[in-house]
Amino acid sequence: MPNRSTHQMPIATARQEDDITYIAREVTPGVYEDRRISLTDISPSYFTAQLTIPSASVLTLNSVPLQIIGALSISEGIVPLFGFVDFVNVTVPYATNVVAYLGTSALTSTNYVMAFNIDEADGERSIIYPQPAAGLATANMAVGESMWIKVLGGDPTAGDGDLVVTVYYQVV
Amino acid sequence: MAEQSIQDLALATTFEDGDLLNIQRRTSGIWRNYAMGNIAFNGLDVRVVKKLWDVSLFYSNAEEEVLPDISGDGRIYAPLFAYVSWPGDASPPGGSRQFRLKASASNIKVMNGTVTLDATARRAALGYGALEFRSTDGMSEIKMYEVTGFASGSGTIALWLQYAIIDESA
Repeated sequence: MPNRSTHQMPIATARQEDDITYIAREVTPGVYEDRRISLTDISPSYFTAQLTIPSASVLTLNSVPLQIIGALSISEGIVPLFGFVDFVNVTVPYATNVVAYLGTSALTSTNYVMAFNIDEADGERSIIYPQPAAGLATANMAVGESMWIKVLGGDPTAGDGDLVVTVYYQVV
Repeated sequence: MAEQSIQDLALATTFEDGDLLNIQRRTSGIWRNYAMGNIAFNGLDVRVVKKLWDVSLFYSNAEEEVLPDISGDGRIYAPLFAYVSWPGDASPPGGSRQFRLKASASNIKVMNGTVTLDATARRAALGYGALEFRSTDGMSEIKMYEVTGFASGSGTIALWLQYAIIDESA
């Protein structure tokens, strides 16, 4: 293995499953040893999913929910951390049934992961977080589940504009 | 950069812009060294900040800066996890005190947690204070303040905050 400083090395642009990094550990007072540590033993990477929902689809977001993160393997679960919503091309904010929920395909108003209002003006941006209390335990993404976005109570009755929804999540 | 063994290097406690990690990857059957930046490693620019304050700085709902104002450079903060630690003190403020992280442009709470400031060492995780923050609330600066109000007592209170920096211009 060539002995080069880190800044002289070729750049790896993303983690891979079998990558190894190393740490220095004080095994006895004043005596350190380098120990390798697999990336799978470090905090999981953060992933990003983004979905642009055009105006026509926003107006049917109750009757036609949309999937934003596809199901992973049966042994992997999605852990949503936070999200962003950008409101673009809005001339008239949406009206009636204006809360969008993110969760499983079976989400309800008390059983979801994140929610936000869709009746914002053009150029607005919201950051959204998982619900802190009621519903979270049962709404959490179980292994093998996908994440969906849905408006509850019926489709919005008026308004326009695109929603660019970005979800940051980890996989465990 | 002079070659040094790892244990001789200065300890960096959190990622900074431009930091590179040393990883080893098996490529075509051979283990090779590569450098990797924070975003490539984490998938997101995740950092940790630790703050220590004399608790008197929070007298009468006063605010202290947690993360500096980065408005105007296209980036905003996304707090991920936080807790406050109280070591206990012989002359504590006393009472159940509510510490809150807030965005700069309003008093809307970002994260919130309660810890009793007495003679006993205590810790409290902060939970998200709202489900949604709109752009008008600003997330380009994070401050902490105490909600209930107190004006006496001593001790050093600590905050650990894990947060992401989102580059909206990217």
